[in-house]
Amino acid sequence: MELIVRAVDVGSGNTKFVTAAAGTDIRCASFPSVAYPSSDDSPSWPASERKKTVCIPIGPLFYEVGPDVSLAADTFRAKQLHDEYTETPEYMALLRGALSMMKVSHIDLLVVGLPVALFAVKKAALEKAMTGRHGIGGGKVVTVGKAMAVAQPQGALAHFASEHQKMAIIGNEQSLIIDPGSRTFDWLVARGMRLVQKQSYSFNRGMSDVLRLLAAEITKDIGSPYRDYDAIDLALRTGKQPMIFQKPYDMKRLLPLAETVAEQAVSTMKEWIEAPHSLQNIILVGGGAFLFRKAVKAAFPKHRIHEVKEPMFANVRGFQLAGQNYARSSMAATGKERAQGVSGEIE
Amino acid sequence: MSTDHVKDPKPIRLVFELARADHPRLYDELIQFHKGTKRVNRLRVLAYDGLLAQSGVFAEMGRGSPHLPSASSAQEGNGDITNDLFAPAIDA
Repeated sequence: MELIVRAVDVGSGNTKFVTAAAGTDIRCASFPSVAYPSSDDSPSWPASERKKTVCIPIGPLFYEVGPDVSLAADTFRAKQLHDEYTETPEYMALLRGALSMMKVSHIDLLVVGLPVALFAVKKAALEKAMTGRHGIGGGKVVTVGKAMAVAQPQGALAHFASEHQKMAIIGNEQSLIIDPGSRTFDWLVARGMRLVQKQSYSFNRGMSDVLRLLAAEITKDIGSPYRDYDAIDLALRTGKQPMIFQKPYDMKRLLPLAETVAEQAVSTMKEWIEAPHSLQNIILVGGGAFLFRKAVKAAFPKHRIHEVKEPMFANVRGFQLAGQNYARSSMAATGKERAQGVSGEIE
Repeated sequence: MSTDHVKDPKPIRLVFELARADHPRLYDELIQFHKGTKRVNRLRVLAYDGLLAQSGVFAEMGRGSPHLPSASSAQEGNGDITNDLFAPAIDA
């Protein structure tokens, strides 16, 4: 029987996960990384309104997660933006929310991601926490036979090699994967697909820093507290002016400020890269790729900067691909990791 | 293009023969329809869709969807290559 492999990438901005996979045809979905706590498992809206959320039991509380959580949540206090986020009940709720939306009762191999800087210190604990039984509410349980954690940008590398037909040669090449996410700016140097620890790192310089900085500038300008980060994010991505006090707000003068955050992050990263001339592939992924593109190109003027389609899902697609190959090559032969639970669809 | 063509566009009349050896996939598609209007209409639809695809119209439509599957040309690789993702990091 084919082993069931699934992947989840719990990011600070969005939780990305695989809903179905057959070879390279990998279907993904996502929801905001927001978990709204409550003391019972009833959703925060009337039963007559069907919304896409699930209530996940963690300890004494329930956490509502899912694509429609923004309709219920007080997002200001529900986000976890710190280095210990993998140990929080919110993280577990997001992961289990993703598991519940996969509609399987058993997973033979679950691949999850970690920011580069946390990878070495959190890997073992996260793999342990992910393995075993996960209550997903309503008396339903998903069992995970084996869990493996990788550094988040490693997934993007596997996805890039797959998409660019470089699987046969990537093992002999050096690559730099740059992953500006919601909270952290991650980069990873890889020889083949192996992480080079001393040249890879992540630090807190993500899109959330850009948004906070611009919100502070707008606050100063309008003389009133402004915290609509989503509106700023949309404005940066689309060029559409946010409405403030019923008028379109011109953000053009703030764009150089946003770009300085990207420039600082890229400049710090360059100090870690020992031999940029040896890099065959420079790959830019992540939800903040659009804002960091200019700074990355300026830092590596002699390189071609590769981007992938749907950069938000690049990591989780690579996790899935690598997980499938691992299951076929290292698990199927022995069958040791196969848990006793029966695999199948959850209603 | 001359202005005459724009002002008074004349219908284009095409008569041609298609052998399977020329375009097997196109031939197999058209042969499903019996002679006449249906076959011509199918050819017209295919040609126009091809024109839109060449102009990038279909690509634009697909770009907004967040859940598109990976391209079919993607390589799966194997454990010999991708298992290095799970190998210990290189310290040097």
